[in-house]
Order: sequence, then structure tokens, then C-alpha cells
Amino acid sequence: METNTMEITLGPLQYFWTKEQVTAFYDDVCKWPVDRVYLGETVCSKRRQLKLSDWLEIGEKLQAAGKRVVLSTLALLESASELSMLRKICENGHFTVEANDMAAVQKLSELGVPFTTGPLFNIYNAYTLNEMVECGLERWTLPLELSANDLSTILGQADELGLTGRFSTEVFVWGMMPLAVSARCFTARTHNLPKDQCDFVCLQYPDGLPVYSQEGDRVFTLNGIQTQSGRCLNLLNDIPEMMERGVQAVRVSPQAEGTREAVQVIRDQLSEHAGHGVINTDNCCQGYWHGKAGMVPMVDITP
Amino acid sequence: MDTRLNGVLIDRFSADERAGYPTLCKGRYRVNGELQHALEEPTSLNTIGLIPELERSGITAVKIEGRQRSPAYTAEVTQVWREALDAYKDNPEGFAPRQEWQNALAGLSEGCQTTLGAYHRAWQW
Repeated sequence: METNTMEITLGPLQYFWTKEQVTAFYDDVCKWPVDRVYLGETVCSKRRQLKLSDWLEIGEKLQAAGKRVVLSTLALLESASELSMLRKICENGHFTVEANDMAAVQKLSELGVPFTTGPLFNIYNAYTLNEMVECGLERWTLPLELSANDLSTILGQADELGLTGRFSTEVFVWGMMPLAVSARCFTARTHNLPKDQCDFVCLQYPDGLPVYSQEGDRVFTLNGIQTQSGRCLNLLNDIPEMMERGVQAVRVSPQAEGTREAVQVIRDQLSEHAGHGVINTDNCCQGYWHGKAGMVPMVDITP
Repeated sequence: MDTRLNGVLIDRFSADERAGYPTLCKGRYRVNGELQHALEEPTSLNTIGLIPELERSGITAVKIEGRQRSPAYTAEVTQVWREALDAYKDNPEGFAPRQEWQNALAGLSEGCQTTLGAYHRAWQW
């Protein structure tokens, strides 16, 4: 596996946007310097502004623009209808799939097709990775709460197990971190609405709903059943180290603002061009990569 | 009283207020300008009234929480449940939760509130 190339990927859209917003966003993405784009709903099955056929159509456009396209699955499945949608995604026959839970892995391994795992998929050691490679895993995304040293330990162990070269490693480097998923909907709760009559209030929060402590610290972001970090992860300065540690892809997660700029800054860095990319570092954090508390703010960024 | 995690304020209680457990999910935060339990209310699950239904659906054991609770709490809750299960066994047809059990459990519950939790709802197929 080459060490001097680093892929830039665009993770699945975590928020609920209107169909028009989604379509306009991905029309734009066709022109961005990203290599791989993950598509589909990963948070809430009630978000049906786009049908699977709409996502496939967006996928075709991105593919025509030279992007590799991957379909992402729900992180928490709760009903037979969701399982049936999962089957359709896994059986699409055209794009590879990012499995975000074990039901997806089961289905994809039955079908015998290779897959990727997302950042919420729990892989904490190379023995698990080995099991997953046997099931068809060809790429994994480092769980968000693991550090650079954890990654190196896992990759070292994977090497001892003879797995080197059989999978790629992707790291989430920019965007609000998905920390947890629940069977309960926190955005609906804030509006005093029951989950099953939520009035689709998530549409009002294209970058999630901010949660502050009583002292004004931004601690979380509510996104339906998902709890995200209150600050935007920004590991753009750590990408050279990631390459040295054997990472093959870095993931930018779509936000309502600043996503294109983040992609551009990474592309400039990788191509070693003096870039024009400038990124806003207000309300950013360093996550868990450095082995510290995830919400530790970014003090200084010099892209 | 303030509860903090790694320096971050999770909740703040006045002197006469019953404090919830100091966990992130039960803190009070500001969302859309309003102070609220954004993730979870500090209430306790109490399914004692569901004993007949639990038995009918094939449940043969119940778990009383112990983690993050005191031995005194666990002892009292366990005692109430033992009595309730025995009362049900003695007379399944005539079973009804006794007020004294409910009072004992309510007195131990966070914020003096109990809930049926997810058992309120019908499962979606």
C-alpha cells in the first residue's frame, strides 16, 4: 500500500436538510477536490426528504465527476422497515457500502461484497479487525475516541496477524463528532414533541442544535437521536503524522458551513502548494487523537 | 451545589433542591435559550405495576440496579420488589401494587419521580 498518497473523503451528511439543500450541496461537491463521497441517511429513518433512488442519482452524478461513491447505513436500526431499507442499500449492486452497525455487516458478508466501517462502528483491536476482514471489511474508520497511539497499537497488532495490505485506514479529521446514538430523540424532546410526531424539527437545525452549560460552555450538539460534540473537530494539522502512522484516508464531515474550505485546506497541504484555503477555527477542538479530553479547544491552527 | 465533569458545569442545585445523579445525561443545560434537562429527566424506572404482564411474557428474573447506588438504596428497593413478587405469586388474579410499595420506591427515586419509561409505548414493527 502506498504511503505517499492520502485520500480525502467526505463523510455522510449527518443533519436533516431539505432535498433542495442536499441536491445543491452535492452538485457543488462534484467540483470539490475530494476522492470519495459517502451518501445516505445514517441518523434517523424518519428523514425521508430523499428516497434511496434520489441518493443513487446523486451517486451517479458524483461518480461521473470522478468521485468514488459509498452508500452509508443507519447507525441504529429499530424496526423491520429499517432492516428492509438496509437490505436494499446492501443489495444496490453498484456502489460499495459503509456499514454502521453489525446488521449491515451481517447482510454484506452474506452477499460476499467488500465493505467499509464508519466511525461509530466499534473496532478497538486487531482481533476484531481480523474478524471483520474475514467478513469482507476492506476499510475501517478509526473510532473517534481513539488516539494516535491507540491507532499505532492496533496497526502493529494487525501487522503481527498478517493483515497489513488487506485493509485501509480512514480517520475522521474535521466536523462535529458523533459521540452517541440513542433510541430517544433529543431534538424532538427540546420541542416537547414525541419522537413519532416530531414535526421534522431537525429541518430547523442544519448544523444541529447547540447545547450550552449554565456557564455558557458549548458542550454538545443535538442532532435527532444523535449526540454530537459541541465543538468542531479539527485535526488538519495532524495529517502529516497520520500519513506516517499508516493512515490512507482522512474524512471531512459535512457541516452547513466551512466544509468546502476544510477540504481545500487539506488538498493544499497534501499537494504542498501554498494554498488559498482558509478555515475558521472558532469553536474547534482536537478530539481524542492526542489522548486528551475530546472537547479541549484548538488554541492555535496554522494551516 | 455544583456538579462538574472535568471542570465543565453539569448542573447547579439550590440548597433545598434534591440533586439528581451527577452524570452528563442528567444535567441541566441551556438549549434555544431555555434551561432544561436536555437529554434525560432525573426520574427512575418503576415497573412494579407491570409484574403480571412481565410474568405473562415469560420474564423469569428482574434486575434491580446497583451500580452508582448505595447499599441502603439497593436493599430497600430489593425488599419492596421481593414483597411484590411474592404477593403476585400468592394471588396472581388479585395482584395490585400497594401504595406503601409505591411510596417507598418514590421516596428513593431521583426527583421523587418514577416512570414506566419505554414500556409506555407500543413496539413498532
